[in-house]
Amino acid sequence: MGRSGQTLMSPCLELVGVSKTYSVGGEPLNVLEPVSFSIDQGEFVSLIGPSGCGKTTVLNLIAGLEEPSSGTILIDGRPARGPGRDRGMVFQNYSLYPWLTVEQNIRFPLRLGVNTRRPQEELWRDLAYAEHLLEIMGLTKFARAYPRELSGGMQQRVAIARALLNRPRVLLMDEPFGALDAQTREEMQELMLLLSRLERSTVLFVTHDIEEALYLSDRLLIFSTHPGQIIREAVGPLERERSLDIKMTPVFLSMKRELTRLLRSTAKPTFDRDLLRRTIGKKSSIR
Amino acid sequence: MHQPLAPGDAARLSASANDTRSGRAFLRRLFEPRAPIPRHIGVIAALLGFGIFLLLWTATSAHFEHQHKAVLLPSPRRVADAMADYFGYGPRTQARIDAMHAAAQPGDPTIPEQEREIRASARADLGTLWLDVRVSFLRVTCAFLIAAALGIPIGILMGSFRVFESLLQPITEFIRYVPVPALIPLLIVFFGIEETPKIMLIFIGTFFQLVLMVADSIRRVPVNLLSACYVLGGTRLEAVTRVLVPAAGPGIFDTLRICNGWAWTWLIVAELVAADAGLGFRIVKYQRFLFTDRIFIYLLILGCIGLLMDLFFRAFHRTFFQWADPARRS
Repeated sequence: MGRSGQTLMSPCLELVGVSKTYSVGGEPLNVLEPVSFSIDQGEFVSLIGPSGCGKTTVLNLIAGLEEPSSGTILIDGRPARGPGRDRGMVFQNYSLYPWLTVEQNIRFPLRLGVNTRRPQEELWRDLAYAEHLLEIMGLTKFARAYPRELSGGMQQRVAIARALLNRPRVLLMDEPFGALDAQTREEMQELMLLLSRLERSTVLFVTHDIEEALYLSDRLLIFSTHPGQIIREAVGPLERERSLDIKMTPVFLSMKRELTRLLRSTAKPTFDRDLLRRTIGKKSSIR
Repeated sequence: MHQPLAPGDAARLSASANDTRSGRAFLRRLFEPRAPIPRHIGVIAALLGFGIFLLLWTATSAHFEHQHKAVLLPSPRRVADAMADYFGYGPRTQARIDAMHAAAQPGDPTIPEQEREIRASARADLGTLWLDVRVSFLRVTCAFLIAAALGIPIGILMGSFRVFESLLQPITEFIRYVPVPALIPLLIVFFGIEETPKIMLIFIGTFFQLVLMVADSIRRVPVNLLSACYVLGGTRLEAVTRVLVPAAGPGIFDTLRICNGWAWTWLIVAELVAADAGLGFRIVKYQRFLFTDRIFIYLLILGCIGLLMDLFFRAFHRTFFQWADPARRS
């Protein structure tokens, strides 16, 4: 389970010099400088950075939704081509199928060709797993409800269960709790932490919330903007067993302070602070 | 509860806090943009709409009657009479029976027989009406089903794949803007004056619209639903059949409902030109005899058919697209 001593095995996920360049009106636009990192089996890694730093692009590249302009993505040492069920993904906007009930949404992967061609007994096992996921996500009572009838937190739990049903090698999560209110968000963080322990999932988690990343992760990769690149790698300060209260501890807070300052220093100003300050001083403004 | 109040809340609060029956507050609430109104007010307003319509109709027809041109615009009363005639109990039938009575010898044993015959001949018109409804319904349904059977798959292809969009969209848009009645002479040259040109006319009038609207509802499906399908292991074909089509289902179905309405419009156009039965044909025929009251009955029937179709489509929508029904939002 540890982060070290895995030199003999290939890492679960490995990126080697992966970059992405878009062409905007004939001009090349670098959204992602070549990045390289790897994640071991069972590790929880967060990508943090301001919006527009290319962290979502990294996830899309790993998921196979976009092609990298250069570099290779390896899953268990084998290059990944196109999307596949070995990489699960959870989106910020849940992306549930509104015409399917909660249960049908979670079982959706089983109706796809990749799964229906598998032996019958494996399918039965997966059906039981779907049942189990419904239960641990606290969704049993809502099995026959439609997504629109659920709260945001519950919808995201359905999406997580759906992604886990394929037992992916890596679970990619793209700001999954970004649209939730603060209380639900914390609840979901705790759930995610326990879930990743229970299912021994390997998770790559994208967020712009430093506190969230610190609380959840074994390791953090900090991105900067324009073009996106990793500027710092940090090891999570926390024990594997942790409660939400840990967010108040000095170790946690000092780490949070440090990373917050780091990110703030990379951000370009988007408005004229001095102009505003001067205007306040004058008191009478355009009004 | 120290949240700021929305303007609507304020109006509602003041209405309930003060006297609820206070007319001003009530009116304020009634004319707040997009605000809900009490159910009974809605029903009353709907009835009022019909009432105003009937009133205007009666007033106008009374004006015509005054000028001794009652035949141009029959009053609601006369339309109702004409309807009773269809069942053998209207004033027109009664007049024929009275004439027969006047002409016959008193105590003629054939009088009841003759009366029956007169009523039966009046009911024959009902048979004609029923025939017209059947013929027209068949034409519309035939053309509509062909248009849907071809239009839905082509629309799905156009909405799903940019190649098909580029291939078919411009030409479809072009044909769509050719006024369909302009094609009638050609259709008659090509297909004669039997059923084929009529069905073709309705088909052309609906098919191209249907294709474009189906393609549009496919295009409105959020792209993240496709991404989700791919990362769960779905193929491209599955992305179309398992995501795009079910997601666009309600949109496609709405398209069918709207196109069915248009099909009835084109039906009338088709039947005005050449036919020997059908609702549109009969309306033209009655115009020649100035049977305006019967024309009104046919219009009424067309309206009712439209309403029934709409009810059918809505019931279908409620049953199969529950998930898209805004009423179910919790």
